[in-house]
Amino acid sequence: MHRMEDVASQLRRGVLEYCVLAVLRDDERYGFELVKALSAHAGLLSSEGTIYPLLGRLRRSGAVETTWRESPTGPPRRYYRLTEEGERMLEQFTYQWARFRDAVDDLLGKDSVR
Amino acid sequence: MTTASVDPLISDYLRRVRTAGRQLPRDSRDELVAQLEEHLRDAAPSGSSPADVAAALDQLGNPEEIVAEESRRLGISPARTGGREWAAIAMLSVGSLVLPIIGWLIGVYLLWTSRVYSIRDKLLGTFVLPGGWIAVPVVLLAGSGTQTCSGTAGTSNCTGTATSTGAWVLLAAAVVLPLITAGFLSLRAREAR
Repeated sequence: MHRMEDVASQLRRGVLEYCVLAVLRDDERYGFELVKALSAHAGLLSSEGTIYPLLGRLRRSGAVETTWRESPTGPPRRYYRLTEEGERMLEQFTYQWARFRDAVDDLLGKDSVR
Repeated sequence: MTTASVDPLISDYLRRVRTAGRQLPRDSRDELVAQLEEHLRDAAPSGSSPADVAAALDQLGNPEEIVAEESRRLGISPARTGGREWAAIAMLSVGSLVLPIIGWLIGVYLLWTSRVYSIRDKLLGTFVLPGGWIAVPVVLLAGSGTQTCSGTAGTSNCTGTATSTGAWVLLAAAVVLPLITAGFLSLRAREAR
């Protein structure tokens, strides 16, 4: 039996990293900002903290890089920024996603998804 | 950073992350903790009310869940208690009597090859008490060795140190210490189920 939570979590697993890259497309962000930008969209994050393992992996794989910047309120913050590799990944995903979304919408019947 | 101003709820939370993350490679665990610490400086700045801190921690999520996500991202399957852990406990306790010495050594081997137990658990399991319950008959034998009995039919007259306080303490320790260790290892094993 499928529970809707499991479905949501499986869908999230595949696309969340690209959502992170998309948030970073225009500007570098620090962790808390990034989390807030993502959690503004319902259903994207299961819990805020799970974004950090993902950021760590994106950094290790070279899609994002970090720099330290002074903060007006406290110790320096770690900012995340898209690398060229990250931009390329995002571009490819954007294309794949459009095809995938259209295919699924087509099968589900666009009219039934209001 | 002044550690003195860190909210006890926050330091408790970060401790739970570290504990849950003891199977992670050190650098990724340190990075994870540092990221969460930084997040909490923004989500619950010093001076926040306990309710605000609790809400920020709640939104951040369960430490075990975050660590499980990190394990998945690193491609490490989270260590789960299996037959090895229960077998280790059985061999270190009952096994030490059924198969003296050998049973206990098998238990030690299983204990040290487990991914569930930390180094501290392993040291504790090995040295409290080495040999397991084999110490019980050893203490009893040593006790009766110093006992001299003279008796005729129906009566017996024993003198010696067998029932001295020291011997009783040793005997109690030989029985209880392995029991405590087995109980502790079982708790740990259940946590990681």
